Amino acid sequence: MAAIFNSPSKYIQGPDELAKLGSYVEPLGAKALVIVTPSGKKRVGAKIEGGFTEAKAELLFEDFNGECSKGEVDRLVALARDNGCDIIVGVGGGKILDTAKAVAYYLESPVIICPTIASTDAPCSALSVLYTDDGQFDKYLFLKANPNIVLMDTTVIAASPVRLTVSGMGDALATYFEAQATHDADGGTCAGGKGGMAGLALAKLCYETLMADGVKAKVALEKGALTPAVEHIIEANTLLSGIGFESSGLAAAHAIHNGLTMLPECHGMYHGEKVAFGTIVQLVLEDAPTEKLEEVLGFCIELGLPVTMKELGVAELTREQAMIVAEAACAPEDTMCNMPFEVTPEMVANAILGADALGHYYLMDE
Amino acid sequence: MALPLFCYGAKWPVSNAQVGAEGRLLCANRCLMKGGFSYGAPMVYGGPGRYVQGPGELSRQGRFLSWLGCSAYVLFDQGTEDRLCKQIVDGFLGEDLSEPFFKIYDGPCSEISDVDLQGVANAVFSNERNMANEQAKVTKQKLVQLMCEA
Repeated sequence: MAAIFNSPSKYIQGPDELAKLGSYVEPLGAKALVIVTPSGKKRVGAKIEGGFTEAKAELLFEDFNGECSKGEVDRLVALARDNGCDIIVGVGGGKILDTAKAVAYYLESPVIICPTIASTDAPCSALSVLYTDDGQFDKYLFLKANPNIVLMDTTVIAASPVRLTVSGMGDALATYFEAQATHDADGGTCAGGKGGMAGLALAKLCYETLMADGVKAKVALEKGALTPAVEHIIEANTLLSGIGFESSGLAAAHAIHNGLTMLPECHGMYHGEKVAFGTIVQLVLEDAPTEKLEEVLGFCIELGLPVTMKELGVAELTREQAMIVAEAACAPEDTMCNMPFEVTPEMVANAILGADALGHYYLMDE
Repeated sequence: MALPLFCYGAKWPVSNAQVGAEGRLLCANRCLMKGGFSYGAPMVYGGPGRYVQGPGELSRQGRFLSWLGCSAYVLFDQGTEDRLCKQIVDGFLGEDLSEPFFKIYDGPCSEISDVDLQGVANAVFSNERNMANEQAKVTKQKLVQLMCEA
């Protein structure tokens, strides 16, 4: 099987980059459909419009209806066709970005993705997650290509709620451990092949950047300061983790995340917060050295990422609940198979209980 | 108040920086990048959308081509045709691709030659024969014939 590396054609990051959106659209299309929420438009609409006054391209704003569903995607495809739009732009959080990618897929047009938060590593990927109109998971849509451009306006992102960027660090935390596990298991990746050296190197850099700059970035963000540490973390959360997961593979951490979605108590937690705990469970499952566990636990505690099930919303974790999560995590179509050893639901349940206990031990709250 | 500040990796003072009461940098208009200077320029990463590597991949390229489009204009030089003709042809079989157009080109990469090649491609794709075959699956015989014509 081939080694396959996916990436966006261009990833652009810097302060106030949204003001230049018009100039980035120009080489790719003549008329852009810009999908954004009403509140997003209030915050960045004028900035975007300003950039289009000098560009040769036109723009048409359209409100996002709130769910990345087939219905919403179809509506926007029809709108784009009726208005002669030949390029799609998504500005906002995960659902809008996934919707923009899906619309461009059906329209067979270029797409520019403009995250206004750095809360997950989804933006760079050739994947959209579709839901039903009432918010239930529908299906994965594997796209023909990664976005033409991923545009990160770090001024806007640094002004977003700190908890979202911290959650992005939780998502990025898993990337290297899952990439290494997949490599050791000779497993397959979302890109459709095996992982090569470049993806693994970026995944490793992602982890090193989190350790070097994560706490500094969080502290700076709490004061609204856009420091080099913040720029590095935005890049780690989005590009390094994005390429790392798509081209190097997922393993136990994201499978545990998917298992955690079976517990209603955890529904209030962000994706990255659940993945952070999933990372600790994976480290317990593979019996990572104490030094590594302490490094990861220390990082999570310092940032305020959950290290116990209680912090995830489960007041008193029972073995039954751990088994519910474990059974779901070990579903054959999920990524637990990328662990380099055979994994049973009993092993995963024990790892969850063990990780939870370690979290309490280091938090010293029992 | 605006103060000139020397910042990480920047060779020149950062202008328009705003400093708070405690003297701490609140927000800089310039992009501060460790180890590198940028004066208003963003960080840019450019990559191939997809990089595929492995033994025998040339004869399996069809599975990627069908994602990107149906009608291929395949450009290569004589040496490549001599060495890899069969693998290239195999790459177009078994997928729902229309007849590819093969062009052997040994010249330089220049603006004039690019325009010429583009003209040839356009002429081929507006050819009635290709339009009629657009939805048909390619047979090995047909491909070999096309290779000879090219």
